[in-house]
Amino acid sequence: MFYMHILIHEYVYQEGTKMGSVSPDSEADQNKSTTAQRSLLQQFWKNYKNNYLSIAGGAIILLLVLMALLAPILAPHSPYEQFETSDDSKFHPAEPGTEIILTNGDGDIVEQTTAYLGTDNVGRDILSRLLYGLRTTLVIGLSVVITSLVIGSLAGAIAGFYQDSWIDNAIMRVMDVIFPFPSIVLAIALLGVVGIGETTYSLPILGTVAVPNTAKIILVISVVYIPRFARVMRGAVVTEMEEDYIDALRTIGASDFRILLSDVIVNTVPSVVIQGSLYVGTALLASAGLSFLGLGIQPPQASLGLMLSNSRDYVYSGEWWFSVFPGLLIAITILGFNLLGDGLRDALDPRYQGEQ
Amino acid sequence: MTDKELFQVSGLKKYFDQSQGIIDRYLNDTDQVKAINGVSFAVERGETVGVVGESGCGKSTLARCLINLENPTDGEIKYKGKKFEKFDSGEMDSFRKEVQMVFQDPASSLNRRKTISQTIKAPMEIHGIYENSRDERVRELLERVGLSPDYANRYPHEFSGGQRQRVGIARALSVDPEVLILDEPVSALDVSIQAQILNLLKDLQDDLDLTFVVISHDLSVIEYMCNRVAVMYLGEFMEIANSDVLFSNPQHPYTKALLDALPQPVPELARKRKTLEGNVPSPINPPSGCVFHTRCPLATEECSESRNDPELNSIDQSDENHKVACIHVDEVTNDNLKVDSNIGNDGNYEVENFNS
Repeated sequence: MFYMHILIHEYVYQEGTKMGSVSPDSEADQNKSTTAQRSLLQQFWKNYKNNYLSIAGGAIILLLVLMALLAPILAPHSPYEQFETSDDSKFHPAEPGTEIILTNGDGDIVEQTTAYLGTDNVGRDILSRLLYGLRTTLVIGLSVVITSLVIGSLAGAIAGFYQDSWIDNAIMRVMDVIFPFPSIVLAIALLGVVGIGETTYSLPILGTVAVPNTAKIILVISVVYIPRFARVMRGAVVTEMEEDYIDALRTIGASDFRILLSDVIVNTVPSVVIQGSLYVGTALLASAGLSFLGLGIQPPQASLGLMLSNSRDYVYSGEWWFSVFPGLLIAITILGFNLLGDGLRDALDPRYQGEQ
Repeated sequence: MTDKELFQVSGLKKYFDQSQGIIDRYLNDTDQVKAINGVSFAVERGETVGVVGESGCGKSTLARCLINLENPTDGEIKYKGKKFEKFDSGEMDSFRKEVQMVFQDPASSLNRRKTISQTIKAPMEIHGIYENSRDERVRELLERVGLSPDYANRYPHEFSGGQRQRVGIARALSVDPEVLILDEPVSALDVSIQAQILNLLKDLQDDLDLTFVVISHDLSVIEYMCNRVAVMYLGEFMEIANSDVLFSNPQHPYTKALLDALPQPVPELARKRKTLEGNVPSPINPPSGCVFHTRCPLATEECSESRNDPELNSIDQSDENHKVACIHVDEVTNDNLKVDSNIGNDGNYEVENFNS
């Protein structure tokens, strides 16, 4: 009984000081008012860094991007130079770690070096081609995701904003038509339309425009991913539109444009960014798939998919390094993007926000 | 129509289509939810009009129609003598500035990714006022609603419910409105904080000459805040009267039942009260005649005949403001009512009854 009395007394006392110390708001939550003001970015970083896997994913991606950017410096050779093996001076595949030589037209040795990851069937240095191939592949993967994310989420946002109107139906039905195609099949069909290799178009205002092959590949794979982003964005916007603050903005007289851009999209972008980071991996895979089928990047340009494709004929003949290294690099890249995406999702998910 | 009248609502109807599917739309008659089914009233400058009713009776829809978030199916709303449809863009701008709304759910009425300073500034930006002094204005408003100006750069999740509602009020006040439409302003808050917010609103009304329209299901909130009260049931007004008259001398059987359902501080009295039987009928297919007849203790055959849908009529020549929609209103006045009304005429009934 006595203790209880003290407890109650203490409780009342604390309550009293609480009331007194928080000046204008008796309902103020003491904890919340004493925490230092924290921006959402800091909040995000705090959530993100707690997860080791996300950190690992971020580190992998950072490393790969640096490798791709610095390919000209890091690569020991040009990706196109053909080396001969030093023992018999022939253009045939060199095992990893063997000596290789580069000769000029007169048969003089220009360079003698070691092929750390071996050479391919025409004597090109695999390590150099991997670095340049990573470059091509990352450019395609990221460009595809950025293109389709921007177009898809804008379309989805407009559709969700004008939910159930004709514009929503028009946009989403088109998306529904594109959506069910397997990505490779649709990409092949579209490549059939735009053609493979660089094409020049003469346009009325812009004059002649040369569209390089890489741009075409980015374009066709982007089309495949646009509906996925549109759907995610539309769903997020529809949920967001039910919030009272949208009505509040309307009653203030805010234009649709302002509401959509400055409020709705700001709040829904995290969900498509998460989706985007997860799709970089599959977009990479799609571009590698196209290359594998001979429809993507054209030789002699290096790309991971193309290298894998070339290695197909050598799997049983014992030249394992043709396929293992590009395959491994694709796997690591996709793993990195997936870990990054998971980390982003966990850190940006509203369920985790404001709990710390 | 006098200069004092800000809002003039006549014969307002708002139906929502129920079925969405294409097949339904073309093959069947679409079901319509009759949220508001013929409501007429006026709001005068400086007064506080309350609308009270059970959930689902259409009071929030009425608020949304008043602030032009919904287009009425039928009937008209005039603001300062002019119909909404006839507003030119300048008049719409000034309407959007003069009439502001405070929302029910303070968690959803603030954008979670914007600081409260950004939220409060938005109306000023949209209307282009206080161009050079918006930061000071934000601090001033925060202080006015009882929050520390130092909170300006915090995010909504750092505040309690009551504090968020204060921010919502500050946002509404930022453009110097004349009318505040309060849609359940305190129903999401703890009871202790409800009183603080209501007192704040009353202070603001006195200081800034505001006109209030209060939507609430809580009779005590209505009694505390309002000069005039409308009782709503299934999209129609049952009774409208000055607040003191309505609470001391209710005429409509529904009003009596509502007042009867108020929690009594004295348990002995609570046992005597009679509550309504059954549930509110579906607003898709409201009862014919008087919508209340299915639950009314006074209902007779003729109440259900559709030609007998009662209009709001003055019952007393001396009190123009007191109108009741009931064909049995004479019997009600003669105290023939079976519902035992405990809400006495004098206010100190509880103690007397308890003593006896």
